[in-house]
Amino acid sequence: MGTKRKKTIYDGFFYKNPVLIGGLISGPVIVCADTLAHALVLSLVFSVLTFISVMLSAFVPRRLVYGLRIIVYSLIAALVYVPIAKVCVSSFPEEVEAMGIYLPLLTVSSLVTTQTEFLFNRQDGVTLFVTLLCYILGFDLAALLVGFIRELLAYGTMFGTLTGFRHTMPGLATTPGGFLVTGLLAVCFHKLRILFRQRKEHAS
Amino acid sequence: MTPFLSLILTAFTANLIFTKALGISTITASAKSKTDFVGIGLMVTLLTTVGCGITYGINRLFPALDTAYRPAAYILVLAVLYILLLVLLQAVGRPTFLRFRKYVHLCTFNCAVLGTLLLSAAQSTSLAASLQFGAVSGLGFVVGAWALKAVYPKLTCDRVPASVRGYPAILLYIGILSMALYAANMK
Repeated sequence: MGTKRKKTIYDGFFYKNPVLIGGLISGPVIVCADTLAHALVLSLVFSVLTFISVMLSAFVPRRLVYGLRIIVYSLIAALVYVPIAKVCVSSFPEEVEAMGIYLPLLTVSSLVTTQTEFLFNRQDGVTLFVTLLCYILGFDLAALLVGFIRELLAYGTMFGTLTGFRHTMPGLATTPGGFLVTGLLAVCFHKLRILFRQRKEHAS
Repeated sequence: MTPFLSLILTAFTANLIFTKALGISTITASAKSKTDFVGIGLMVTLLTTVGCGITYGINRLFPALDTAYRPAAYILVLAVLYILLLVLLQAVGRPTFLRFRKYVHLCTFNCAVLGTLLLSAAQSTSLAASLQFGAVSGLGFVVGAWALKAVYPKLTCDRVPASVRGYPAILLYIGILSMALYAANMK
């Protein structure tokens, strides 16, 4: 049996990627990240919303009962969402309309509620900042990869520009296609994780 | 077709898990639990049904409510329901409360429940329609969770290659079911 891998504050980017390994926030990625432009807007909203919400949640007193803390975390995210939504509607109206209810759903994502309680708020200072940043970048990486693959294979375009790729599969732009692309990408990530672990064990 | 059969078919074809990818982490958690699956399903159904009714009332009282403020308003509704659910579990009995309290926040603050409320606000035209939408969505969640629970031991067994085992296999399985229902909806 191999030795257990030591946890690091960078785990959120790859080893504990919230979408492809942890399965925490897959719904918006599966449905919304059907093009690179949509994935970019989704990543932007998620990054700003989650970063500000989790940093503000660090000030919620631990004296509060656990149940009330979860409520407060979600409310903080919902209030932070208001100015973000207004800016996005004016800057990216088509993308926001295409994503529908999935942008507001980011206010109850697992990173904002349970992970804030059980992971982020048990750290402080630079550790909290780096851990949170890695989880956010992990989500962004997953969303952009899924958006890139789906737009290329479903439409043969990149940011709406034809690439010359002809063997398109339009079904990959649908929700079932999102499940399959995200699932296959998750398989790749799991495989890479196993390979890295084995390499580290052989090296040690 | 009887109304009951029509309801079951709607729970399948308009299922929020398979058609809108809502609540995947919640059904994964319920599939992992060997004995609490029914309780989790009931809690989600209760939350979606009552929540849709209350949010219909809010939309009638504040018809000009900006969409940017809706998540905050609905999360307040969910907060009240969360507390009431904890009180209800306490009233049922202490063993039940201790058994299900770890799932209450997971059942309340998730994409499936908030997504149901947001969808209901966009499309429901009456209180009855909102309540029906909430109930059917909750039933759809139970159907989806049952469909995953039935195969969960197989998706996580040692015979599945390590890189596919667990979450990737769950996504691929839901994707295949979603494809079948997508084709059924197109007809």
